[in-house]
Amino acid sequence: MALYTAPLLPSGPPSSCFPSALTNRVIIAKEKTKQAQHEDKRSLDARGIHPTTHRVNPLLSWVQYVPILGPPATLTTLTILLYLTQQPLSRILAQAKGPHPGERVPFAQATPSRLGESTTVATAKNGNPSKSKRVLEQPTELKTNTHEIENGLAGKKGNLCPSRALTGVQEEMEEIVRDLREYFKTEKTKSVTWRKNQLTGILDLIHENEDAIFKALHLDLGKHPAEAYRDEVGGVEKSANKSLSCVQKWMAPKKSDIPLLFFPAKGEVFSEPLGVVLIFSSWNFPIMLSLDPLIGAISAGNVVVIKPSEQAPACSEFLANTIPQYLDSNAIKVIEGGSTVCEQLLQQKWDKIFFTGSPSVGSMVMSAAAKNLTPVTLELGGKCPAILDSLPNPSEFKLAVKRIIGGKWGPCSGQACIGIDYLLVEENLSYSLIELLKKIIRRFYGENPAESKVISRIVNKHHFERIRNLLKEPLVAASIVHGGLIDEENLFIEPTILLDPPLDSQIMTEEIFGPLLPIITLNKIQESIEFINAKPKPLAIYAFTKDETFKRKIVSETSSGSVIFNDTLVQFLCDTLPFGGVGQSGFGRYHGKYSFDTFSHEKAVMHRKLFLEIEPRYPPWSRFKLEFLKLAYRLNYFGLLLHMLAFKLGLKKYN
Amino acid sequence: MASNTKNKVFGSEEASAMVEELRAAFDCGKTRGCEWRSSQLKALIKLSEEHEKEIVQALHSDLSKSETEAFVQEIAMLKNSCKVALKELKYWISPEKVKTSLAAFPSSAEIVSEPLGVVLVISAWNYPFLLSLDPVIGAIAAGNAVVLKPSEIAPATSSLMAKLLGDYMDNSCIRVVEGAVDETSALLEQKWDKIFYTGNGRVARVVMAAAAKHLTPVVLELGGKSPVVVDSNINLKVATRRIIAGKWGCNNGQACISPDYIITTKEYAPKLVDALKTELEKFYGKNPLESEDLSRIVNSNHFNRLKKLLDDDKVSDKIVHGGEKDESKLKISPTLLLDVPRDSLIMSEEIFGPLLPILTVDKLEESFVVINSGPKPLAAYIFTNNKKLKELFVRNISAGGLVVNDTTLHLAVHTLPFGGVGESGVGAYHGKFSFDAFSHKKAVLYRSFIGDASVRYPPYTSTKQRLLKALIGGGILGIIRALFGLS
Repeated sequence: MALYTAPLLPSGPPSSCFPSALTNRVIIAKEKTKQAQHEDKRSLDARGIHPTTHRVNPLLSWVQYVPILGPPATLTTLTILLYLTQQPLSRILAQAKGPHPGERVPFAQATPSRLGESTTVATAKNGNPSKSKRVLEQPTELKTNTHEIENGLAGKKGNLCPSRALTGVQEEMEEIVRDLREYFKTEKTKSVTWRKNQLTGILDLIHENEDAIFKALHLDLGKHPAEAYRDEVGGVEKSANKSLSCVQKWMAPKKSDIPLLFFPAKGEVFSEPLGVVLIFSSWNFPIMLSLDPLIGAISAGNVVVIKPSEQAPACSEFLANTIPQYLDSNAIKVIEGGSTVCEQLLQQKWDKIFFTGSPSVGSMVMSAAAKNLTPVTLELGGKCPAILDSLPNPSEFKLAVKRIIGGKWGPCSGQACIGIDYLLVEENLSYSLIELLKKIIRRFYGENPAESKVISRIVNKHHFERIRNLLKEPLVAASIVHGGLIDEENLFIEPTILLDPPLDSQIMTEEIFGPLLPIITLNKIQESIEFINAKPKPLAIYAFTKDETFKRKIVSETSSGSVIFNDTLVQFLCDTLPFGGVGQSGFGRYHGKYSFDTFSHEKAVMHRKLFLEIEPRYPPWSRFKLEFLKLAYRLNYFGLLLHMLAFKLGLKKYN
Repeated sequence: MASNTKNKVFGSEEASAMVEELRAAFDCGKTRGCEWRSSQLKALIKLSEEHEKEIVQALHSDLSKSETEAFVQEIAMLKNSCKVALKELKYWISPEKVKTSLAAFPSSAEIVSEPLGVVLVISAWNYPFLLSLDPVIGAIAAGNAVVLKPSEIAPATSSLMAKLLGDYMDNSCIRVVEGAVDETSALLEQKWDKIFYTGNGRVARVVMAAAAKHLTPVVLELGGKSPVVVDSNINLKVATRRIIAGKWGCNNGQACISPDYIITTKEYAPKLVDALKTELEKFYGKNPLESEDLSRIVNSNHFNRLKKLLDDDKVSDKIVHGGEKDESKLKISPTLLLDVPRDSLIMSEEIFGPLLPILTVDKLEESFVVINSGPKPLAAYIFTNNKKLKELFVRNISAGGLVVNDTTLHLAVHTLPFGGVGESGVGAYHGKFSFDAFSHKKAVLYRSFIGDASVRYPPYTSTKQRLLKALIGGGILGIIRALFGLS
């Protein structure tokens, strides 16, 4: 196990091997679930937990992303959205009240199953330690290193060092993977019924535990239930429904045309599951980014281990507790833990690793995968720019600004890989833009955004410090034109706008991943292409423009995971589009059918018959055969016929 | 230009300078145009047509490949690939329109294939011409700048390609770097946008680990022990001929998709061996070591490796045919081994040579267990007329590609993806799949500004909320009532 000098959370153990650390964590977990009103302030502050009363209309954030065309289309769109997500409005409204203080999160005990219990370390925290005791001999090791992750996985300098001998854990891990592989060999997971059952299981899971999910997300990130529904539960639901209705079609072998030369022959492409796959999810959308890849993995018929991010502990615990109850625990397991657990996991042999997170950890994951030639999909981030062209029509300009605000502060307060990182605009436009931004921010989030409770908080102290440091540079601080308020106690940072911070400052060289929006002014908006191309390839480029030539230029001259014109974030909802990065923002893609493909091997199958033989295929070689083959390769059937006739009639002599 | 590098020391400095040059050429957008791509593909065809003789000679000097094999399996295949790419290019590069979900209405969306950038192709020695240039076709078709590192184990072909590509191709975007381990290491230190490697699993791990540093996606085309399952109810003559063509007819077994071993039933094995012997004699004569139609073993390293496989105590008494070796000519005759134990050396590594062990089982279904107990092969073949067995085979055997009642033929079909799974590799190519392997599929979504509803944005009034509620659950009447403020 590698020891990192991690900036520890106040609630965290001073070192990973402290015996008291375990108890400490258990207490925290209990407190979290109870969420008593008189919490131990010291430990809870660190997690930014604050009892809340929600005053802002919940429709605010989720409806915001339903792009709508006037009232008639609004009707259609909303009805459809509702249909897609099958969510009664009353429920959303009810959830808007938020978790009641003192209410106990209904975490049910994991159903005892042979393997299910062995994986969920979380059961120990949840009051039934006897069950999980036999599993991981050194649970302390597993659980207490949560904070190392800051440097180990999310950090920049960390390296996956050969871990200290944790043979017990290692053996357990090996056993889990071995059991999974055995189960995969039973072919059970290959059947349509199994896949459909599991997908239904996921739907049941989110339907029946919606409140618990909202609560967990609130604990981890201060996410508003409406935002949580829009970005996480709703997305999972849509994705699961889509897979459920399409999985059979996806599984069907695809016919391929085969040149006549090979007649009689038949070609097809079979999608087969890869085997045992590992999913690393991230903390910013802890439910969505765990369950969405899981849906793909299940649809493709794989057995799966999910490693939720330990930086969203409540969600991680929720997944560990709930998944075994709803899904086949012989095939789908949740393993919780920090960097040590990650290292142990990466030492196993997987058939696919799906990773969502930062480039530096992505690189480690891939190096580890190389040992076993495991294919990887890396979903990383990047500095996603938004380009704002001059829009002469004031209402369009206003709309663009609204959508920019939605794309910046909407998803998890800027802590999203597809969120807007910085904004490019022509110099003469900057003043009106900033005024409008201020105005709309005020309208959306009130005079005091910290109180609004519709914006998520910063996930933890480490990230809070990181973002604060971005603002600390004097020249950057001087460029703040709006916001900048920082509430350390609640880990809250106000929506902050910066005008032309120095381009070599950290805020412009690193992914911000927080509620700061630098605006960079250009002489001409066309320069934005050059500006973007000078940086690593982002996951998304957003451009607000009506200039068709400029649009074409952006598409053909820049490179990014996706390009979205005149809106933000909607590409995430569109499952006919592949979602994934390029270059620094990752590789591989998912969503809809692409998820299925990501977790499948496309096996080429060719059927031949044992008659009709082309003699010139075989040695001993002769001039005639060579000539024949040359014609055959040109698919020159007429020539072939003549060639054979000439040979039969003795018109040509070969050797 | 390209061949100059041969005489100089090619270290990481040179490599980095070269990549920088190529990146600059790529950035100016030269490779993106359809004209550039087709001109380069045409140049490849021209190159292989005008220098057919030299290519055949180079292959003969590297591997003693017969002319027909060289033509059929390398030159013609390559030309075919080029032609397919040329013909289909305009369809491949046009953006694919997709439906957008109603949630994003009104909008349109498309998937744009864009080149990845500067890519590296590292190729193998067994088909030094085809395996070098076939991936290059995909890279060019997708509009990338390419560096090709041919295998140093086939030096004649390597230097010929460096010369020909230098003469025929656009050297500002397409380069050949010749060399061995040092040059490869220098290349791998650079940042690439894709690495396409053909070779063995050991080097593949090095390549992937190096790629991980720069988050470079990789395609790994490796090998594996490709099995052939032979049922007893078949046209034995056709089957054996096809097995021989796939095994010894493919570079004397030194091909990644060559049959590696046969599994058949105990009763049928003698018949199969007899048939193989008869056909082998027809093909390669009484003294196969003299046959011009059999390639030699590439070098003494590999010769000794194969010799060791045969000298293993566990199998030395299992040879039922062949086994003759000529070290001076690096030739080994087609060799059959019957009933080799599964823990023998020959059954634990990829053979990659003219030795064909035959395993026997009591029931043919057991062969699936044998195959699945090993790492996933690149190809698996079955000869049978039993429909049920075919289905079982297709369902249960995981391999890069499967062929029923033939061998190696799927390689020539560009509508099928060619690539491995598990130990036999990552990613696929050929035809459109090559193009895709070297492209990034960029999602592009177009939205407009028209008709944005105010209900979408705060602050919410009770009217708005009522309207929304009606919109969502109240049915048409409810909406009308809400619009008129009646509810």
